Amino acid sequence: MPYPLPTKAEAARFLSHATMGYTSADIEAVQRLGYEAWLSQQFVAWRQTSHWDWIKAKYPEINHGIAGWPYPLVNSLWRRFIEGRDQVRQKTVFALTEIVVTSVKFYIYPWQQFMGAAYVDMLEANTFKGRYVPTSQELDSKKYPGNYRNVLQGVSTSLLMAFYLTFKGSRKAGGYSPNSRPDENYARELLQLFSLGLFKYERSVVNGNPIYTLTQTPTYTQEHVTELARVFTGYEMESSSDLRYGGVIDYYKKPIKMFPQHFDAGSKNFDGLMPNIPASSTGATTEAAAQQLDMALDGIFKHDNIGPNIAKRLIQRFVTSNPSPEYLGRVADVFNGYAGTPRGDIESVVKAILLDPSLFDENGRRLGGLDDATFGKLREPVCRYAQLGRAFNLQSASGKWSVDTAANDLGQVPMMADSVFNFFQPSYTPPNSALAEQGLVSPEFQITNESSVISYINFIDSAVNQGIGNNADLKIDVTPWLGKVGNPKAMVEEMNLLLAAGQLTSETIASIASLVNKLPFATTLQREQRIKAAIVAIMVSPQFLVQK
Amino acid sequence: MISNRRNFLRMGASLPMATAASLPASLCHIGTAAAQSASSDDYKALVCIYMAGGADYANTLVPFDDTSYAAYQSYRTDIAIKKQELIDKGLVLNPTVPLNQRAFALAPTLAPLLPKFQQQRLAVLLNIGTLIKPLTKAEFNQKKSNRLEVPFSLFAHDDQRRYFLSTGEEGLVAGWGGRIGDHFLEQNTEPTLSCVSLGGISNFLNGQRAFQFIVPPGGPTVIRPANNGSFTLIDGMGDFLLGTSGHLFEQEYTQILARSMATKDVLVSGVTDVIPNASTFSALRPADNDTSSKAQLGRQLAYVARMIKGRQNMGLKRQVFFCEIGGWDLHSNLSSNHPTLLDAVGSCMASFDDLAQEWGFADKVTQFTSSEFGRTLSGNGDGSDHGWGSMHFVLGGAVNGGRYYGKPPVIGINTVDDVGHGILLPTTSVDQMAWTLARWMGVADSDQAQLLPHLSNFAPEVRDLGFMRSNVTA
Repeated sequence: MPYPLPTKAEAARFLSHATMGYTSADIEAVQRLGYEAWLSQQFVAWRQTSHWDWIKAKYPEINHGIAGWPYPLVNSLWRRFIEGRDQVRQKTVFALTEIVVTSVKFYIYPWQQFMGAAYVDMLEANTFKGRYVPTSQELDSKKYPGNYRNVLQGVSTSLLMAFYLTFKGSRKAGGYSPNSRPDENYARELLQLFSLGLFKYERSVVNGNPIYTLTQTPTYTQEHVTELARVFTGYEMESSSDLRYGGVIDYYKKPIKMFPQHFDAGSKNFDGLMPNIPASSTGATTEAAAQQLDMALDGIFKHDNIGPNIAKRLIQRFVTSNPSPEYLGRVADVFNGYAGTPRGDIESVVKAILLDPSLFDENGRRLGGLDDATFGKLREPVCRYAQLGRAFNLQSASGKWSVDTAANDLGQVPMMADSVFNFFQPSYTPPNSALAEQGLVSPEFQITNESSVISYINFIDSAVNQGIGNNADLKIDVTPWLGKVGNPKAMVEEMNLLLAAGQLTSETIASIASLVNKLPFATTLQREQRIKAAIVAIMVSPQFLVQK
Repeated sequence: MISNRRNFLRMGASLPMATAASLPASLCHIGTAAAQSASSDDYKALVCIYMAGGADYANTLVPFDDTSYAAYQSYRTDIAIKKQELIDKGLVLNPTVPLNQRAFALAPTLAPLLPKFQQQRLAVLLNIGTLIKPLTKAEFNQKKSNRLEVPFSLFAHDDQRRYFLSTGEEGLVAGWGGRIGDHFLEQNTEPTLSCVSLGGISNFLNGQRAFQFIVPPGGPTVIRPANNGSFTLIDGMGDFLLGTSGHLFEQEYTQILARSMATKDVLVSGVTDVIPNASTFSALRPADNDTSSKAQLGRQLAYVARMIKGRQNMGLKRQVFFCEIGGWDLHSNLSSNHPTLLDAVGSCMASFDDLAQEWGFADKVTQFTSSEFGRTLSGNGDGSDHGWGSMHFVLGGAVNGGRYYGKPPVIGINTVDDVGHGILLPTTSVDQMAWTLARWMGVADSDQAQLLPHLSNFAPEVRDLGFMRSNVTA
């Protein structure tokens, strides 16, 4: 269904769903092209400098040292989220880092900034197919860049993930001592968090709409986890490749190596969860291990729970915490390949999320949900800062994007979740709240508490006024606004569109304008202060903080 | 501008049933608690120390009698603690109530807890875990997929964490710490400070009415003076920040902000600025740049102690605290990492107890450990995997310590207590630990069913485990 060209506010709303942040040029482009054409351009947008190459170039001092310091990677992520023109890809990558979670938070893995860079580069390469045309064999197997199947493959052979979820060094039974067993950590989280989820969904069709209903039946058992863990045996890092012992940095971007003597090549019985894996006819070889991994991932990928489980998480990252059953059903069907596009095709899923009919009224105006007091989501702190950065042309004076630890006060740092369960869970609801009473979830509230809300205010105040990071490296540019300070109301209204997709009420705008109006604006410095006061006031308002 | 902070407590819900014995009439009114004379210091607090990730039982309380140690050694090999080390360091526990032909030793880095055990201030809870009802191994094997009989999702971190801290899954989103707090909100001049977390968000402290109040260990976060010339955020907050809104998400955000701003002043003026002496209580005075687990837990407990010391300034009578340290999910590197974590717990708990004695509230505050589950007995090379039953500690002046509570599990595989890889089928339930602590806090026996619904599945004589001295004396 071709949508009518959007108004400014509709375009801004679309961009707040689709991107990490947007500029007035982005609004103009969406208005001119319309949603679908703009999205199509975004899907084929060129990838910029990889995280790996950028870190090597900008932080040469860490090429030859122990260097567990992870911030070069995090800084690179901020760079891409804020500078990147391929905004939909960046938003999708960020969402994926919150689903197939790994972390560089604890400084415990050697060269984790490089392993982390390789991980995010792998995600980025597999987010959209873009200009790549999959062969018919690839369309059949779903193993092409831009398919979630490829994401699962990349994650399951990632060196960083092998460290993080401890399958590095896992051996078949008896591999260390008579009673030692394979490590179950990765197998469990692969099933629980990266693919199928804890509970089974049942698909039905209601009034022509697919509906996936969550049941009370567990998707898998402890026995399944134990059995799947046997596939993730034999993976290890060659000590000679360790940079401390004379290895080369490029080793850290390769998939983890297989040592087949430790691989459990026997048959795996999954008792109906997915197809059994026959014993290797050639014994324990590198090829056999790769084949069994392939079969295991195929089995997981073809289980229909993956559609609703991943679709729900993605919708929560982009648009709303509580998608209607119909919304979820439509997107889940796209993921599962029941809506005419290949199973696992990420472009198709993202498009389905961003252009779902429930977001539009009967005239194609992107107003769906705006009159619903439960629609939307609390903006993630990372997205709040990215929004500020894009809207106000954030620049890194040094070119190194040295945010470093300054974002701790923001309350969320990319690739630094506390655990594989991400910063927050899909099912979190604040206790004793009206949300809980209505059976609604609001994941981002899991990191919102009496302490973090104040830290955030302090962070925004610093970020806007003096800049943050090493030597205040990151500052916004307010010069385009200097001529607008004479009319605070008009200025705040314009910022409303740019920061809050036009969602501040007129009362709020009036309130903020009158606040700004109390400040003098004779000198340039005073004018800057007027502008910055308005920005801070908007960005600490609940009306901005809740994205609709 | 900020409306009465008491409005943020949902007083609409009915008060829990209280008998005359548990809730003296003079304490029923909010705000009058402060009117009590300063000499009446009827204060009690629970401090939960949560070990996030699944605390390995076998390398915490090491099986020491010959048969048990032999089994332990054979299944752990590379990660087993050497028996000679336990002997040399005098870590074998000598309880006031001996076990029958069984013995355990504290892991070497739990040495700070040894004197506490000897002084009968430390109780050890054996093989405790999440249960709905008592289970034999046969019953477990038969019923394990029945969520009404066996806790659901046994080996998954998040589900078991919620379960351990709430004794249930559905409908019991509220944690048992918060549910205990519910009974005492009216006794606190500041009900918002009834349930305080130093360790971040968890379900433990959310009751049916009580909210968990989050404070970082450095004290409440305050809005800095603004960086923008004459514009100060605090002055200008106004309606757009704390105004009413129709949107549910905006409302929730506003409530958190308002609660924070309202309570901050109370804490800043009420929490004592006396700090523990650095040489005597070094675990509670880590260097500012120390990011170790011990430092993290030390800071949390130091603030708890300072808040308790300031209890009369703030009119606080009953509090539940939550502290947390992570890193226990040791699928690998168990031998290198576990001792460091145990050292953190042992040193900080012992130091807190020492400080509590110096500051005169040791018999009013009880610390206890928790974790989502124990781990396997057998190793996977350099670590252990998710388990179930584990060993936990209770420490304080009111504790009937120096002995074990519960049944010592048979150590090994294919034993009566093993449900695979040496995962322990618990023989004591979290509900029992919770009830023992709740009774000590003053929750009435008539409130037992409402507080801990599954407890009725356990024999009446074991519901209170008996590790709090005042519970067992008439």
